[in-house]
Amino acid sequence: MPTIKIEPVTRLEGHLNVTIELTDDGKVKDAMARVTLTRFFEKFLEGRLMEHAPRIVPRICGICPEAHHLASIKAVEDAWDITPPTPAHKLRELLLQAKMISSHIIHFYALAAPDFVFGPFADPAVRNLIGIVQHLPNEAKATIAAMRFGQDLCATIGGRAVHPVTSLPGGQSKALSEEERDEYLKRVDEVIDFANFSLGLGKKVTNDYIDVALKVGILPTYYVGMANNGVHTYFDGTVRVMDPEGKIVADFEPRDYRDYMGEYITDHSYTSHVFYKPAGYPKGIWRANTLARINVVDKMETPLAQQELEAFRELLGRPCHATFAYHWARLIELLESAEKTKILLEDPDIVSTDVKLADIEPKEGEGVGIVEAPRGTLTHNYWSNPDGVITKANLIVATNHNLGAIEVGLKQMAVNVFEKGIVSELKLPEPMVKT
Amino acid sequence: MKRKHHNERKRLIIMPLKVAFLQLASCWGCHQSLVDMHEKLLDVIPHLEVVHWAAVVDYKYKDLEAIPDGEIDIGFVEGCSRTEEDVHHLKVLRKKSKALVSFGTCSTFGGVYGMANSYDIEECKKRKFLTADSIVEGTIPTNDVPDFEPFVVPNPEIVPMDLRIPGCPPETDVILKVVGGVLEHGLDTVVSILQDKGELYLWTEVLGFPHKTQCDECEREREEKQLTEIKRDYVGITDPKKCLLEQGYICMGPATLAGCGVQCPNAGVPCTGCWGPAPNVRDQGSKMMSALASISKDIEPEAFRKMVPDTVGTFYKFFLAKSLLPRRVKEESMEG
Repeated sequence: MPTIKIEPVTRLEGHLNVTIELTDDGKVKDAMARVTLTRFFEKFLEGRLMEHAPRIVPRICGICPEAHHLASIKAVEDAWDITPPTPAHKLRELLLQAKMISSHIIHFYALAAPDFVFGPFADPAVRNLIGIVQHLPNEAKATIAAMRFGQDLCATIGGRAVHPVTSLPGGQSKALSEEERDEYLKRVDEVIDFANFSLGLGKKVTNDYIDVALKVGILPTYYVGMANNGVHTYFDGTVRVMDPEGKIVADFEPRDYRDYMGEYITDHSYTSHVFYKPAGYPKGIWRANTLARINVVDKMETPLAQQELEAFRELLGRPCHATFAYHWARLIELLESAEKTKILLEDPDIVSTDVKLADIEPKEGEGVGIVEAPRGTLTHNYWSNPDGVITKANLIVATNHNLGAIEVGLKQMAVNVFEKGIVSELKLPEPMVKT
Repeated sequence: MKRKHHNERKRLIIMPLKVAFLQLASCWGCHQSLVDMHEKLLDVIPHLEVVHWAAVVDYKYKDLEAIPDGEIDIGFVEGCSRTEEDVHHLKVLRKKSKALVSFGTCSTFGGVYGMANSYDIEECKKRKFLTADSIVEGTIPTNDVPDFEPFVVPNPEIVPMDLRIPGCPPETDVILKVVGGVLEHGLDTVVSILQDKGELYLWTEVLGFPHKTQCDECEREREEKQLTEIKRDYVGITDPKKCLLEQGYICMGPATLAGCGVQCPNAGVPCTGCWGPAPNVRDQGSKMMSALASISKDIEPEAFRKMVPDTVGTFYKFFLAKSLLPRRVKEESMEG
């Protein structure tokens, strides 16, 4: 029986292999996405001090450590019944927005764009970030400057550019100074301009590849993402679930997540498939990340991003099941993060020194923290004993929400390639840069 | 054929260094820190020919295996060896590389993932795949997935390493100094100096890094004060000018190698030791405990245990796999 293996799937962070098994007459028998690694955070967090969790869990993901730091501190404060001062809360939201800026840029330009710039069939030696730097140095410079804004702001608020340290139970260890704030305010308009430029590019790419977008990777699934009274948010709100027909079927508080999120463990992957529990597996397979968030919310939080959402929905509808549209959705979110960063920087609270409560007491209890990581809804859940030691931890990280759907999409794609030969019929544009 | 043409074209301009970046059990934070050289990427990239970097370039493992032995100038290893597959890839890159760099704390000491060594691997698997609270249907995956190593063992104990860059992650400036040092002095010179001297952290001197503890670089004021209590990190509001340790917070500075710019104390929180042990320190955690004991006054061991209810996570957050007691010892094996 012929077997096709892709080891590893590239241009993603992590360890994913793909196996496609064909029958002797060329039909797709099975397609599997295997994550070949796990690191056992759920176990080794047991016995740790609750306040150490936000300093350990960023090591789940070095591209989005801020999201883990913040979901973690929310879980700790929820368990100990602490509400941090408002300025600390705003600083944390700004930290997450800063990360969204750099992560969305690296995702679009370093992981995805090489396919559009050089074409999907270009030489792998060129079809990558390094190729972009060499062939399009001016565009690369602008991209790097905008990415740098996000990473610098992460370092200023979080204490370090990678693996933040400043969120403690009860607030932040460090306030933002007025000088620091002014420095970022000077630079933020350029980032908004860059986000607008990126959206133009994203729309062009979607139009150029519209045949691909509308014929390949159409995957009707459930969607999961946060909303604040229906408005797009990464940081504060409930978790919404949309069914494949576009109906909001749940809008729940973080503390109730176990009623809605279920994990299914396959025999062939170390990463679970998370699904909409009331619908069961595999019917309840859902997707998270940019497109899911854009689908579940009624509107964006900022004016320019809202205009762009309307344009998106006019062309692709709601819900949009086209996997290709994740890119466009990502750039709408990039614009919102740039706008929201400016709004937060202009908020007088952001330079307040009232960022940490002095009297904190551990207590026995369970806490849940949910934020949106760049690639989807992120849940940290810890149980504390009376001394503030973790007795149990449960984590649902962003990628796991998508893995069930990735496997369904993989099977669909394998049928398209090996049985229907659809790929050779697709209308593809000329590469932007010919190599 | 295509790839060869590409190489020839580039080599007319400059002879780039052939490099590979391997990701084992890690978070990609070391690579994020590398990417964070921002504008300098434009200067550095033309000097590199990347032959493997799964997150960035589309070469597969079979391409890596097909490279002749010793042809890669520098191989960078991020992450620890958690599975048999990780160990295999580590050994492959060793064979293919002239110089192998242990890139970051996970590779060098095991990092936070090494804390799993305080549990039996079967308990870890059970929690992850069978009993985690949101699991609806659990099973321990066995279909064509690599087996787990029973314990995390630091990579330099599995294969010889030529260079070790600590840090979780190593700061961008540190990476730049290493790459810049190699580009300036030539790989052979740097590696031969290191091999002659042979000391764990001598590269820090070669490449112009301080050979000091975090405290040596910290600007907070010290008064040689004695401690009568230990505070958890959330207690009170810290004094921004004074030594955190002398304020009662467990700051790993005295036991930890300098090089990161004392970022955590500068941000108002204690150092947790992610750069690994200070020069001439064998065991980072026990060094810190003895430093604490030497400045404590009238704290009975029982009271100390109450103030610090987690020894592993407090003193060995990044270093357990490299410590003097690097793993859980079963009772039966102690008897044996």
